[in-house]
Order: sequence, then C-alpha cells, then structure tokens
Amino acid sequence: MHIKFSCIGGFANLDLNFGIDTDELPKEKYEELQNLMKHADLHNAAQSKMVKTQGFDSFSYQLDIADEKKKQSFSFTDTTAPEEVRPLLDYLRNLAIEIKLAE
Amino acid sequence: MHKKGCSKLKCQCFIVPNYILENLAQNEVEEARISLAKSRQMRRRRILKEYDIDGVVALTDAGSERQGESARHVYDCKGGTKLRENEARKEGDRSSADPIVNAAYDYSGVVRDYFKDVLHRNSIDNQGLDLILNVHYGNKFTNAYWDGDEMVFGDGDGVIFSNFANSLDVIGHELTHGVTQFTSGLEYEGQSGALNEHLSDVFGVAIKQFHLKQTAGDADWLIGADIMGPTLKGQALRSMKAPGTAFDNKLMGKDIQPDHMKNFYKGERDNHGVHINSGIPNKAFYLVSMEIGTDKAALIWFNAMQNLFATANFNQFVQIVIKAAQKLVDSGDVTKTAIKTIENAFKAVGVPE
Ligand SMILES: [Zn+2]
Ligand SMILES: [Zn+2]
Repeated sequence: MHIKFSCIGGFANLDLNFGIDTDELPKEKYEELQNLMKHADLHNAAQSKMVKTQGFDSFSYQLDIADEKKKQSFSFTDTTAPEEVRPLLDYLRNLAIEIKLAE
Repeated sequence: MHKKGCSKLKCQCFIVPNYILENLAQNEVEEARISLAKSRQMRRRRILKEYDIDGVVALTDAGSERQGESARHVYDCKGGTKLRENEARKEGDRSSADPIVNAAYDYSGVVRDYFKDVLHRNSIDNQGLDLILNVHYGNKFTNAYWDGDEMVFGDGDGVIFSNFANSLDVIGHELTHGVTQFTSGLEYEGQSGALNEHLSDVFGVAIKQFHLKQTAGDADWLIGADIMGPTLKGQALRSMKAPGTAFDNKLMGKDIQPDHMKNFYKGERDNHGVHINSGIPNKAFYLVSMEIGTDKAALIWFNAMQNLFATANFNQFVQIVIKAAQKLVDSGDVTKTAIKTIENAFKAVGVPE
C-alpha cells in the first residue's frame, strides 16, 4: 500500500508532506499504522466530516491511499476531521516531521 | 411567509442574499452589516445544530440571549483529541498544579480584560461569552486554533515547538479570531483571510505590549517567539517589524512573508496565503504604531474592525481604517496627524494598489 500525506498551514503555517510504501516501514510502525487506519474507518469518516467550519489556524490534511486495486483520497482539517481519524492524523503528522528533520 | 416551493427544512426565505448585504455594508449601512454578521453566525449555528453530536451547541447557545459572564473554562485533553473533557480550572478556581492550565487561564484573562477595560468589548461576542480553552490536545500537536466556538492548543513536538498555550500573543491571536467571527466575519481565504490573520496578530502583539508595559520602540514585534523549541531560541513565527525574517530552520524552511504588495504571494496553499500575505498589513500596523503609539493604533484598528465586511480586501481595508481614524480624530481620541501617518504607512507597503 502506498500512502501520500500532507499537512499544510496552521498557526505556524507548516508545509509537511511525504509518500511511503507501507511495507518499507519497520514492523512495529507498520502495525501501529494498520491499527490506526482500522480505527479511523476512513470510508465512514469521509461521509461524516464537514460537521464544523474549517476552523481558523487549523491544519489542512490530504491523505491519498493506493493499493493494487484502488486509489482513494481524503481531506480533512483539524476541525472537520471526525474523532476516529484524529489519532491517525496525529501519527502521520509526527511521521512527516520525523522524515523532514531526518532529510 | 415561506416562498413557493420552500423545502421548509433548509428554509432560506427570510435571509437577505449575502451579496446584497455586502453591497449595503460597503455603503456603511450599519444595520445591514450587523445583519450580515448575524446571518453568517446563525447559518453556522443552524448547520451545527443539525449535526449536533456532542451537545456543544446547547452549551454555547445558552447565553446568546442574555449577557454572559465571560468565565474562563480550561479543559485538559490529556493528549487525546476530545474537546471539553476534564475541566481543569474554571473561573475563580485556585491555581492548578499544571503550569500550562494556569498559563491558559491567566493569559486568556489578560486578553479578556484588555478587550473589556481598554476597548470596552465584553468578551468575544460583546455579550460576555465564556472562554473555552482546551490544552494538551493531541499527540505532540504542533498547532493552536479557534474552531468557531473554542480554542485548542497542542503541546508541540518539544524540539521545534514547545507548548502553544504558553504564550500571551498566541492566546491573544486565537481569541481575536473569535472577535473577528462575531464582528466582520472576514472570510478565511485570500486577502480577506490575510486581514483576518492580520487582526489576530495585531491584537496578539498589542495586548502583549500593553501587559508588559512596552512601547512600540521597546517591543520585539514577534508572534510566537515564546513557543519556539529549545533549538530555535531567537526565532519566531512572524515578525511584524520585519516580515520575512522570523525563522529559518529545517522544519519550516525560510520565512516567506512579504512586506510589500510587489511580493504578494499568489499561490494556493494556506488558503491562498492567509498566514503569508498578512505580513503586508502587519508591517503597516508596525509603522503606524511607531509614529502614534501601539495603543492608539490598536484603538483605530479595533474601530475599523467593527466596520469591516466579510469579503474586504486590502484596498478597502485602508479606506475603513482611515475612516475609523477620522472619527477618532473628530472625537479627540487621536491626533490629527494620524491620518497622514496611516496613509504613508500603507503606501510604504504598496497599498492601495
Ligand atoms: Zn490565526
Ligand atoms: Zn421558507
């Protein structure tokens, strides 16, 4: 599975993004990501968002997930992201920071 | 009366179309302007109500008819992402053992009192709305935001950023987003979005200078200097004195805020650069403050803020600031030279175009 992630804007106006093949991740990280994805239930999440306004100073997240069969895209902000998705966004944002600082 | 064919469910029959209100607002029809701000607010509330999942609306709407007490409520998210759980300190409570809870409580009090005592505005909505602050939000959350009802602060990653609640200018900035929402409702996109950001930066620094008893000349004019992590001491998120010079580091890259229209950011990101192009009016505010003092400049801007409309651009903003200044000159609150000072300051950053 290939994941493309970006986290843009916010109070500090960050520009974070990365793309990874999940099988390149160490086993522990891969499992954690799998669990967070399961918890996020992105299919339902995509439909239940937009409850709130986009927010002021909130991050804009873009998440593209592709495997052999299909490609899906999701976008959220800190305020529109459903509760179940937020831990996944936390994880991906921290991974993006880690990757950027290691560059 | 409902129009023929009204679905009733999403009735819009009683709402004057926004573009008409905006035209009226530009002609300084005060009632129309208020109605515009209110209808935006109501529409948002209605949308929220339809989806109300956690009772948040009931809580915030309760005080809308009568004057509230602008009481502070600080909640501890404990690294989670749920808001308004675990109230850690409310108005009148004694200090918490958690310094971040206390910082949020104290700084929001400074901001609230500044709006009340200096500018005579009773909290965010001018009706004593309670101040809701959520701290320790998320896992290493590197952000702070106003979600339309309340403020949210992350702990930062501990390397690049420390705790976002531990700063008076950050809390002043976020709370001012609330004030803007309840006054002009500036759209968060393009030039009106950059003005929204600008106003938050203006009151963030003006309140900090007031609190620290600094003059425009003493102050550092930085936003977010207090929340930079241990490796980035001396850097900040924005400089109103010298936009484009606040930071240069591996995570954020180099500050690209312009200080003149000729370098206006035309790209798409950040809602077409709301945190970028705010550098242009920010610099103008700094220049005005250096001439007439930050307190007088803030007073003029605060009056202008209440005559703005949601889609205002930079050119329209200058006109409204000058009109607000003229009124304050007439009432003797501001010296006559302020008008020329403002014109020159905006000219120096290329506005009007
Ligand atoms: Zn902001
Ligand atoms: Zn109707």
